[in-house]
Amino acid sequence: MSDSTLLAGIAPSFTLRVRTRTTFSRIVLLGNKSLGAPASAAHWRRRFPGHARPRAAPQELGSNRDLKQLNVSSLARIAKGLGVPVWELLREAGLDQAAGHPEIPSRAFAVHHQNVEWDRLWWAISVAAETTPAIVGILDAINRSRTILSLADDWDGEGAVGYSTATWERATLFLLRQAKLAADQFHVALEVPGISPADQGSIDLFWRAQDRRLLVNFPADEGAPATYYGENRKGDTISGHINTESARADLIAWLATTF
Amino acid sequence: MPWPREVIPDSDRLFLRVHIRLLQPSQELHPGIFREHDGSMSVDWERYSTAEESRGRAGEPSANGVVTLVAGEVRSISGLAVEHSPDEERSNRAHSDVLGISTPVAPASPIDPVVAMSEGTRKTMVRAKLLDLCNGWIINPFEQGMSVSGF
Repeated sequence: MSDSTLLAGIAPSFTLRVRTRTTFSRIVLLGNKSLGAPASAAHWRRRFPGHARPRAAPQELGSNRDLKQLNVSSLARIAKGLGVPVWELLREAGLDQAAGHPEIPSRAFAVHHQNVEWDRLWWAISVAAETTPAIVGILDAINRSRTILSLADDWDGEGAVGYSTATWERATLFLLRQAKLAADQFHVALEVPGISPADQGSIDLFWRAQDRRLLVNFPADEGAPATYYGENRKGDTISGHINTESARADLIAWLATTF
Repeated sequence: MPWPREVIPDSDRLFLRVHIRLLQPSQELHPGIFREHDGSMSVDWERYSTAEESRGRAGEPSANGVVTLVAGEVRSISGLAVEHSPDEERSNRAHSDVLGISTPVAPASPIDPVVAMSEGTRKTMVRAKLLDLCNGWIINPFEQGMSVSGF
């Protein structure tokens, strides 16, 4: 495995380097001058285990400090998952020069257009930039789960209720918040759950480990709370409601605990 | 003469059809396969149906697989009942209902933990437990080269 420069010389003041590894690619935007180390070596190893620390610090991008580092895979998946062209993300991230380069959308990414609320997308990008390796699998699962949205009313020919984008976003953005909290506070990568269609237009997140499982259900009615139930091999259980606007550390702890 | 409603023995198996579009993209069984339609989850009692016949009653048989549950194990979940409900209109003597997934069929015992649960939380618990009890595919649609357009 070696570093390779896939995109370079986009603008005089930027160099875009893509580090290709088996699990993810990381894109770092470097300025003309070194800004010093971005983090301690220990911090870097914890956040990006198995990946070399960059020689120079990423340049601070615009006013958003979360976007010092952008993960190519994450960015592409979020963009594709939420249906927004990648160049728009780059522009909104303050990378106007890079965004103006015609190579970026065509060479690096294939995306489809779909209307989304920009603030949600922006939030998701920030999360991705901050916790890149830990949530790559989550982002991939979210992206793949978009097939749920193809199930419209009567998708089975027997009167089944279809699935709305609002319900899917509610479930997947909660998952992203959980992943970010797991990485930031617990320094663990949240296990990738199943993201599945459930009864009456609701959507499930389902974690199934050898000794425990946790099911979280997001109803189609946005006014109704999400509900969860977990049980481990010893017979301990947890259950209750979730305010999906914020992350739940107790559920991460439940999943992270092993016997 | 209408078919009588019989008592399904605890040891008997029930066939549940599962549409493959529910299982995209992972193809793994998950709690979302347990779904109510008009207040119950329809299953077929093995005494009067084979798994193949059960699958054949689907609106789109080729897009369905069949999993099995055991009646007594389903009844072991608080608030659930399994009742034989032959469907004369569709000539299905095996038709049966799993009742109580959304709303328990009988009040729980005061010492049952589900008493303190909301209806939504209880339903989430019930679906998780049903997956534990599910004995998996008896007809696996993914081993028969089936696919659905749109994926």
